[in-house]
Amino acid sequence: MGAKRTEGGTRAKLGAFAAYPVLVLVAAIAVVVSLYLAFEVAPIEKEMGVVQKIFYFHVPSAVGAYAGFFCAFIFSIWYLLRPSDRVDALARCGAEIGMVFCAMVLTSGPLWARPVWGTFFVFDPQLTATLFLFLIYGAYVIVRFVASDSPRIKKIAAVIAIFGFIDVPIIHISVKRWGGTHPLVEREGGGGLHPDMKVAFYFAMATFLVVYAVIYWLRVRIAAQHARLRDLEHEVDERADEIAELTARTEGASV
Amino acid sequence: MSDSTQPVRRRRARGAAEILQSPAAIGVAPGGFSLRVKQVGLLVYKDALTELRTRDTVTTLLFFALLMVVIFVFSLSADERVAQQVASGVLWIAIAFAGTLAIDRSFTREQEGNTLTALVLIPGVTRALFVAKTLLNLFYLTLVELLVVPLTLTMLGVSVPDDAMLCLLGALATGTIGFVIIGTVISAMLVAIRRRGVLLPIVLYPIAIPLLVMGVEATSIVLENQPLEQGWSWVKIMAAIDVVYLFGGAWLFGLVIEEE
Amino acid sequence: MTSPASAGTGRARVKRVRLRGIARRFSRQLVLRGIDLDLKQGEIVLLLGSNGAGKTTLLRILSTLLAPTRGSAVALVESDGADHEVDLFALATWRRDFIGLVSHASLVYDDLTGLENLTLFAGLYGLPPDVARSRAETLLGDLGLGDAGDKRVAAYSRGMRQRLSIARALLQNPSLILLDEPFTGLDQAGFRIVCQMLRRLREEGKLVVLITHHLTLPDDVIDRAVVLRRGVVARDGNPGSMSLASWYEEALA
Repeated sequence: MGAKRTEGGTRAKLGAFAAYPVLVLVAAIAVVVSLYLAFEVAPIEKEMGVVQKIFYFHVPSAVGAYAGFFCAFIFSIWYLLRPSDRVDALARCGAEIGMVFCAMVLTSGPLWARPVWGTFFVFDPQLTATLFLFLIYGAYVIVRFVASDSPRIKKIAAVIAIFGFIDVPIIHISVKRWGGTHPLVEREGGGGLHPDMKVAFYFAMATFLVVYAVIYWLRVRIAAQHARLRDLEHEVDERADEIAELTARTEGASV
Repeated sequence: MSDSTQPVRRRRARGAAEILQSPAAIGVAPGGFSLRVKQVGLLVYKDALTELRTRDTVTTLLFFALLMVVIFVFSLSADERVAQQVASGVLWIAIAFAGTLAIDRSFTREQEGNTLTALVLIPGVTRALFVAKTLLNLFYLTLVELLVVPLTLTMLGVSVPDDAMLCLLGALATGTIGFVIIGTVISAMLVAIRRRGVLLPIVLYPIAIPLLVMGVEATSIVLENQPLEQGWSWVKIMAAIDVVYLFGGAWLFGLVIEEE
Repeated sequence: MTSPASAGTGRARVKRVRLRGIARRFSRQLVLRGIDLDLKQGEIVLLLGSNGAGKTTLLRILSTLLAPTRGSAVALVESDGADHEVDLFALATWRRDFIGLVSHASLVYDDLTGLENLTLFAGLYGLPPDVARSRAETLLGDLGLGDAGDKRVAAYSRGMRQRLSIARALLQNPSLILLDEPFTGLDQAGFRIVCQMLRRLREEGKLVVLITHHLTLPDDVIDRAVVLRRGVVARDGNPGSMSLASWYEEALA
């Protein structure tokens, strides 16, 4: 009874908010504008050349990844305090989408690093933190994928998500302190940016957040539909059972 | 506490909500702190007694640790300069792997007679169980380190300056404590799960990475004769992380070990 | 901090349990589909039914280790000398020592002796060492394990292990006693001992619920039998002059 009520609630909320198509449209326009700003408006960087353009996608992807992991973190705490399938789905979807963005960060990062720093991977604070986060939330997704969907597994996954996010500041502190032994990296968002670059950069960040919202929303909707489908399957099973029982009884009576 | 004396409105029933009294209002209360301490003592005593009788954890653990060190040392070149650089990594990998074995064992015991079910029926025992298992795993890991650390250092021919010894011990202690806390929480969660053998390392290592990396860093500072203040500052950060993990772990342990 | 010997401060004594519309789903299977039952103290309730009828699930819900998918469980409890109605699961979040559980698994440690097991659990329940030990020895004697107390559980026969599990469940003087197949592996003597224990628990005013496939129980240990079929109560009552076996057959027909 409880499950059905919340499932219905999710659908009603998402359905009533007809703004989703609008959000998709905004995201689409923002992506185009963002591309224009990055390739036409922002000047080509003097030292790095065209390669530097990656960074209008690399850093905003990281923003998307953090947004996803943050959703996973918050909803996992919520789940542990007040378990419900809906909150669990919100957390799980956040981790999944975060992983996609995180994978984008980890592929675009080395592509940029190779020509600029001369190596694919550097123990740069942000980069290392992102890699570790990828591993932690990878564990989260694997646990959800490998094990059954029992409440216990959901709790375990929630614990991973929480520990994972607790680790974020820890990773940052630890990797920053390596400064002495590893090459110092100039951060991309430093003060020396051309004003047009800044505009393109921040616009791209906002764009990726909107894109994240679009995908996350869609994923949550799919999860809600899945839950609804599962409920219907349960109902079918129950009805079938009842019918079988009734048939057995009437047959028994007629004999 | 003021609101808990009010009647609790619960909507479990299909029909109208029922007005029921809260357990707190009728004088039901779990036991206090001294009972908790007693429970920790009993649980540690129980595991120690079992281990003294069977000796299976200690023997397998120490032999496994020995194997790890031997394999690592022989897979590396005997170059002295290289040895100095890799020693801290070898140490921590051996500790982490052997630690996983110990932590995994600590809850297998509770699984055999499904005794965890009996334990969660006892008032307030979950916190005591967390503390007891953490202490026990800490003891096992200390044993492992007593074997692994001198063995690795002598086999690789790395010497520790006298004044750096305390810093090395600090790094080992803080790193081990944090690792054991996370490991205990995770293995407690996985007790009733079918694929727990695979899942424990998959879940434990990513979460423990930052701490292990710091441990490696602090240890290599000591072994490479770099300024000790750097090493100590790592130890301080690791101690702070241990505190965070301890409180987080105690909270999460109570939540995850209960029923479905 | 005073350690309560048996019933002491902060404890609740369950006198009645009222289940309404209890349902439980495991993935696609609805194992329980609306159980209404009123259980009261001084009663030995037999849960009968074929495999998969939902007996163990119902017992686990009564033990508060498993939450129902829907439905309510309300307990009438005595605490501080007065009676109160509380939600069974809310009560369980505070303390669960009113439950004595004998499950499929033995719930004892194989590498400890019988006596060590009982004193350990009694100690965990907060009994002082000397009280814990005497309570453990009494229970071992009551269940016919007096001589086996110093043997390791690993060396116990199945029936001995079963009786030790029952002793463990009774250590803290619980008021709601739940037994899943308490007669498995018992020989005639063991069977009589357990039946005697059940009678005593009833006299002490406990609420006893037990699952069994053993249909030749002595009449005086059956106050009430509840037959579950496909997750609902198919029959509930006292077999009276009928034999339990034929009463059960009739319920399933």
